[in-house]
Amino acid sequence: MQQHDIQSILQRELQLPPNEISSFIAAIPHQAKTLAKHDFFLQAGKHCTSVAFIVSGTLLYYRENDNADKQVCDVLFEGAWATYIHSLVTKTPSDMNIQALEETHIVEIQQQDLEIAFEQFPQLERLSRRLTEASFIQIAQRAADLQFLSAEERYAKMMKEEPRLFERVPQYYLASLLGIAPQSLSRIRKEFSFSSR
Amino acid sequence: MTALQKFIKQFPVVLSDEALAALLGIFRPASLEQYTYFAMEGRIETSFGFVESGVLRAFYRTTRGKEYNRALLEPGEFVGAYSALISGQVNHINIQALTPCNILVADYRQLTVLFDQYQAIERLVRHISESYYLFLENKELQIILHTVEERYEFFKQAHPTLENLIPQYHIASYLGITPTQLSRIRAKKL
Repeated sequence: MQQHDIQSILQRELQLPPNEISSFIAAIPHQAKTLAKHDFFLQAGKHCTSVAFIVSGTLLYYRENDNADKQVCDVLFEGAWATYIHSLVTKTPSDMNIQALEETHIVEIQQQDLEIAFEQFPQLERLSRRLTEASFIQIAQRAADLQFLSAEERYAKMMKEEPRLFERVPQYYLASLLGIAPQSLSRIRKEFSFSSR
Repeated sequence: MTALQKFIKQFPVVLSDEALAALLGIFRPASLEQYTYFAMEGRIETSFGFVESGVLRAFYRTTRGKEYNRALLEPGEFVGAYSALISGQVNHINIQALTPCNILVADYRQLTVLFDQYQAIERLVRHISESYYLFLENKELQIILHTVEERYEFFKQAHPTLENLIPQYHIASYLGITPTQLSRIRAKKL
């Protein structure tokens, strides 16, 4: 069982001894927060100024169009870092909402504190680069999947890569994340449950 | 100042003379003949480059052999199978010279060695990585939010000279439309 507290994650990512990790955590201002179900980590129109480590819970990333239709872009669970790079980097208001789908515990670090910490601890700069690169790979992969894989293939891939999605996220959000209609998703689910018997 | 130095300068990172020299030092000039490949699917890629002249395309090929252009690269841009380089996994994208190209080529591993010596270089690469992320996100948003006609306009703004340099079907493929659709859009504009 993997630990999802910030100490274990940093230790795994940075491969440094526990006492060094503890000194990072002590030196960087951070705030533990609890988001109730439906609370927002970030709301469209506001600026994203922080990154948050998810200790437990689920965060839904979505954009809303003029008809108030939600378009789901991502779902993150415990062990992940949440932020909205676009708003953070360009310092512009967010077009993205980040909302808790259940009670979610996070540790939040303000970007300005992080930038000070980069000077003190070059290893954190590395972590930041790696996380950015991982986001790049993810978005590149998703765009390619949408173009080249069928809805069924995308479903199968998602089931394999992130089974938590199917346990903890409502069907209509999953359909949106897969880029398909909710009816198509229930059809695909039926096909899969038959073929796996 | 060279084009590469200019490219580096646009990011909010101060490199010492020593760091800049070390970074520039990993690049060596190379030329690529028309239609040859800079990166190929199925390989483990080790190098990336900076385009000094010429045009390249990055494309995916489906199992049925159909090709989809993902990016069109012009002078002043980095080129490389970035996902494969950073993940160390087998490459899935092809990068091909559409015209003869001059490229400054570097070994990705040598770049990562510099991260340990110069934190500012690592920071620079993080900023470059962020800008690629924003580029891809923007491209994805354009597909969702804008019509084909609008996307063609965005394309022309971003690449004002490209239409005269490469065949139309490569541009159509980049925009995700058929060549017939593209000529219809172009005809309407005239």
